[in-house]
Amino acid sequence: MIDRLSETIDAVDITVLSGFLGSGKTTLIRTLLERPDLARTAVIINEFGEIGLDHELIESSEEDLVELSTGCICCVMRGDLQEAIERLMVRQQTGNVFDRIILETTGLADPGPILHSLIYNEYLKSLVRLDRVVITVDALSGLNSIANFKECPQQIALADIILITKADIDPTNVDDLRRELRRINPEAFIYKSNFGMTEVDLFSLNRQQIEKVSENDIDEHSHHHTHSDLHSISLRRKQPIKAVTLTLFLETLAQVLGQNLVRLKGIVYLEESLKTPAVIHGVQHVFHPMSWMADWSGEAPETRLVLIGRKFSLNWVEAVLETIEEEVAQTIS
Amino acid sequence: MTPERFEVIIRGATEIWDVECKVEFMDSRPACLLWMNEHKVSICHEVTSFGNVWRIIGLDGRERVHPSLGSTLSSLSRILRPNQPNARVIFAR
Repeated sequence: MIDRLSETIDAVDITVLSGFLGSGKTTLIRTLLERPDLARTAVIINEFGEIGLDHELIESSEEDLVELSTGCICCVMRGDLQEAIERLMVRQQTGNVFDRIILETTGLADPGPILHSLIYNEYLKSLVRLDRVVITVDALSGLNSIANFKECPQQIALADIILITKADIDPTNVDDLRRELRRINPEAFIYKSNFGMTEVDLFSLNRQQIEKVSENDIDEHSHHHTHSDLHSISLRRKQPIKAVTLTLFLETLAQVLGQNLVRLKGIVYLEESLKTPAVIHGVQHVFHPMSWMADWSGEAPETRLVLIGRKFSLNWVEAVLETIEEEVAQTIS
Repeated sequence: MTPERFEVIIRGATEIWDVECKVEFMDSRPACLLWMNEHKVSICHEVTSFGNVWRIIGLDGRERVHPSLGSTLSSLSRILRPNQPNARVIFAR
């Protein structure tokens, strides 16, 4: 740990930018950094390989770039990432030099372990606040990458915002790609991005919009031609759920599904808090602290959970929840 | 616990775990036999005067008794996938 870092420093928002090899991450960063309102942005770049090329491609103030070159960020970086963030924050402490950090992963990274660190590591949480996960997917080769490289659907599953890049070059596959992205991650915002110019300002969405779970059910059978074994299901329940049932349910899911559970997010109608919906958000087996919405905003209260992963069905998840509910009810009575 | 829900849970778990086995479910009660070649694992659920009981008789012939679905699936995972570590959920503070 760098001992010059004060314990009273304000945490800075960090955006994780991932996407498969050649999908346009660096182009996006270059364009973002040209915006006057994003001038006070620090960038952390990780590259896979011995020669860091992306570092050279991004024109920015040297001091605001940190390059991690010790290997793939999801495998070896966590100490390295902490050190990079510390270095930035030491400078922040001395001069308040940036307002946000963008962390660009390698194209071959599974962002899951990175998000675990940012969600769970108490020290990192005191320095940075995970703001959003942005994923780039190439319109030309995205369907092929999804079908042939397990990292690509994994990245998509963890996205808050997905950018379809290079659609201006050949838009032929965009509709199919959009359907496949929607199948893997029905809750992410999907926009097009041409040469780093995005349809919608990436930073205009607030946390509440990003965490919101749609009211539409996911039709598990709507797309017969699929490219990835990742899929999503939506679980809805009008009866309130006891907090202890929720905990046991999440533990059972994590224990049985293991790596097959990639992401879980949703709002929960908790028996102990009927008027305020609880927001849960997990990456694999690590869950954010539960947060609370002010109220149901006029909607009928109900639990809505979206699970993204492999090999499980909605029937199985419902059967597990119903069984745990019965067990808890019997124990209490 | 209906036999139908029991079947959904056990069949789903074996599919999630990629366990190669044949499963024979009883029609009348929540119970089954998992056949792995000539070896078998028996699983059943009962409601007793003191609550739920899940019984598993493993490949070694030993009976394990569990009071909840979570512990039953954990035990079954250890029998069917002895080399696979059990995952735990972590709540960040």
